[in-house]
Amino acid sequence: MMDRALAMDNLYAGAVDRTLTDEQLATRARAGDTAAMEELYLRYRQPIFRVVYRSTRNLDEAEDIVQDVFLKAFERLHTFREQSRFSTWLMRIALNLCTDRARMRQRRQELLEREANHKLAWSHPDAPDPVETAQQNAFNEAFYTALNQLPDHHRQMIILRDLEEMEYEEIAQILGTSVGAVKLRVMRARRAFKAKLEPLLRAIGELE
Amino acid sequence: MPDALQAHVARCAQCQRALRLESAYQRVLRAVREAPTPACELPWARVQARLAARVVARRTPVWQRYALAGGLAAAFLVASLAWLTRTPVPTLPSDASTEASLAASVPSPAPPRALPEIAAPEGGAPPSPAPKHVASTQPAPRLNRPAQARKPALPATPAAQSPSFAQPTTPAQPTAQSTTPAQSDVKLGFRTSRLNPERGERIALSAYGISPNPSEMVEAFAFEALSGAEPFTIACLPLSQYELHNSNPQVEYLPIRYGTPSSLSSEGNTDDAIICSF
Repeated sequence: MMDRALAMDNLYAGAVDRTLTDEQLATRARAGDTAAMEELYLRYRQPIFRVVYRSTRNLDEAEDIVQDVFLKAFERLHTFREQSRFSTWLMRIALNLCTDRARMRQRRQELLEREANHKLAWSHPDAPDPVETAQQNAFNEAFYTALNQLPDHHRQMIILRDLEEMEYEEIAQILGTSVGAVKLRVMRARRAFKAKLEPLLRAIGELE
Repeated sequence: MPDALQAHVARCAQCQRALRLESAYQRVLRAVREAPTPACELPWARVQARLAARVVARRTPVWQRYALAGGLAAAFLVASLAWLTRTPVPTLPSDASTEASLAASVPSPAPPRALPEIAAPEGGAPPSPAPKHVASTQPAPRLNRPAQARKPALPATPAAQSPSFAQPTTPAQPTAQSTTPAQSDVKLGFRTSRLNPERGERIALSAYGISPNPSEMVEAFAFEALSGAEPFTIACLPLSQYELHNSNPQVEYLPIRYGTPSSLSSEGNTDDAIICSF
């Protein structure tokens, strides 16, 4: 399924010069060039998906968000003023949508917990499959368990800086803030994250 | 790690714990980074279809545009017809001699203003005796209004000059100046006039009466009910640029209560300010 989709994408993505920069493609896309849009989509689909998936840990939801990211981006291309890179602008849209989804998920989670308190046997749609969990790496499990316990702004910092290994300057551009502020946020996020991670690592025997 | 730092960590339990946690964190990070992320299987065709669907959904249907244009045209037509078929405003009698005598009796302390003359209705009242200035022991009323609230020109139609009234009258015939229905046939009201613009601004308040029958208008103009047979001039008020004030100590005024909510809130006419009630 995945190979077929990629093959179809590669088949269609020949209508535009691939040596064009993102900004040139964005200019063409703004004029209605769908081939330029497609090229931009193919360039940034996977990077955006990776960040989103690390934030949501749900394949379907991550794909929905990726789709929304590109829909929003192409509809609002006229607001892209090329003061930052296209990838930065796109990442900002993705993070905002992730934040929105996280809020919705939190509300849904609260509702589910309330239902559980009323002894209703509802299955949690986002709960990991026990068999799959057993097969996953213990590190991964501990990491994402701790990550999901963080507030959204801390989680974004850990994903962007420690997982995606973005530069402080790039994160500052994405978030529209200064480099100093980003460093401070990363430091606080790591401190909070380690506090959540430490007992989990002790539980799996990784920390004495 | 520098030797000094190593020596400190060897002695400090808190730093040992932090170092162990940091090492474990780095190991976890490395493992998570190396773990494969699933590929996004979302095809471009799906995004493109959603994009096209949104564009179509946002487009306004053609019939809505025509409906909007038709609605606007119909509203304009109705408004035009209402304007063209409105009731004509009857002419009110004027007391020219009263206004002239008032102008002669009161000096003009105020600078001239570029207000247009209010034309007295032609063929109205017969010549009447000089106005009677009514003495009063009360101080002259002052009306403080901001300068920007005044309009520089008066409307030319009598309808906009004095929308006040003294007594309720019958609603049989609509008039511009007396606005409430009455129990008798005669409508009573006040009228304001500007006098002698060469000498400065004056505002004269005069009372008037209108009969529903135009032929009786002259007879009805007498104010028996108020002051006998002669027209009754309430006051002659010099008008400065910003306020009405009593600059002539020889002229006294009826106790006039200014500032009824309707008069003060109405900014449509300069004369509205002195429309008053007893």
